[in-house]
Amino acid sequence: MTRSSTGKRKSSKGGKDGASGSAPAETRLERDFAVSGLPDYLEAQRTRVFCGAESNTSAKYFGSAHSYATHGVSNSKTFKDFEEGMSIRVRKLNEEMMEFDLIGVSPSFANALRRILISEVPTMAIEHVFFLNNTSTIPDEVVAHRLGLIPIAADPSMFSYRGDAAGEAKNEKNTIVLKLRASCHGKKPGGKTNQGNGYGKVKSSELKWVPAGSEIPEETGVNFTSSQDTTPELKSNPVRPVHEDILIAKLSAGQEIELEAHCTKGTGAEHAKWSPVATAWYRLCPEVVLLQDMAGGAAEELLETFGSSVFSMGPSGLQAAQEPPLECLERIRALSAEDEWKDKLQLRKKKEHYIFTIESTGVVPPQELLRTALDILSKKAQGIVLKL
Amino acid sequence: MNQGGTAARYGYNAATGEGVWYVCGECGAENKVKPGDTIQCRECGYRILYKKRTRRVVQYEAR
Repeated sequence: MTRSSTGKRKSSKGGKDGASGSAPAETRLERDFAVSGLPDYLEAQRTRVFCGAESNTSAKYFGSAHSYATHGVSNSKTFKDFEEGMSIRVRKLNEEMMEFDLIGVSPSFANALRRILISEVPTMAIEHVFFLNNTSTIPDEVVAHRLGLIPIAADPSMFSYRGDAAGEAKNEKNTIVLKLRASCHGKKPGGKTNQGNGYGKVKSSELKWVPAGSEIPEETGVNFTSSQDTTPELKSNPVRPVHEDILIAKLSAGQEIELEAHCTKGTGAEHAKWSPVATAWYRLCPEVVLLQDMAGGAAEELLETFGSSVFSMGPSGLQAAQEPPLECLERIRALSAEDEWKDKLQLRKKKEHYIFTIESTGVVPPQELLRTALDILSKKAQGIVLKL
Repeated sequence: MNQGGTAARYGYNAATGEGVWYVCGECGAENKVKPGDTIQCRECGYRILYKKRTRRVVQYEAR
């Protein structure tokens, strides 16, 4: 299926290729990773997933050092290989999301990072809700559940975990107290004494931070020895919900909600409300490969169908873009499955090149999340080393 | 409408004979009912009155 290349092969510890101009034009296999003396078709299978009509082929990851033992080629990877081959390139970054290339790692590494981001990076979230009054139509437990899911902008590194199974007392180091007091004035709509009408919306902006601790300590058992706003970091950056317009409940005239909510530190492994990301995911970097040199009618047809974002006319004929736009991929895959095109065009994915996206809930900036997740992964690895 | 809102408002105090506040099922008006009073809203005459929720603290887990 792949045209065989006569290009020079490099040694297994050779670092990056690509720049060696000796490879002929038809060598369309981009050499991103350390390449051993494997034949081209095996090298393609090692580094690429081929997208077919119904299914993808060559999706297996060759992680074992002995994968190519029969060819007399070692597939082992040293730490130095990892250091040299691994790289992170940021594509997009703002307060809420980050997209980056993660290159030269195994699927287990990328997946470990994803799982740590979702369930092991800590945040603060509402855990206990004390209702003084709730005459709204929303039951207490539903309001409590809705409150728990609201992202609270508080730096989790400022707080400690509360001891196991609520055994440890709540204090200023492990608990944030918020209160909510909302009521809807006016007479009941439709009644005989109807004056104002309508209803009130209770939004997350009504949640107010109480730095001095619980206002009903006898009932909640929370005693702060000092006010939290004496801490400079918390004073300059008061605790608040990330978004001010999250709807908690609607009140009709005469209804009210009065409650106190206590936030604790936790991780997404225990409950999704502590997850610092809306989600985090990755996809493999796509690649369009021209299996033949193309010119004339076929080349023009491709140019016309997909435009210059995917193909361009170079000195040696038609060329495919480094990375085709996401919205073209499925059309390219479908086209490459047709009889007329299957010898000319192929869609592939690079196995060790991940396009990783982190969508933060806004509590912690996404670049901080990545740093924390890598720290956690590194601590886990060190833990294993100590046990060995 | 709802002024004060102290805990004492919600229960019957036999010593003072103050009466208990109820909410009308029709118009939502608040009525103070003492022992022996007719169960009827003073605003609209409706005869179904509801007892108010107490301010006793209840704790929930936000899950």
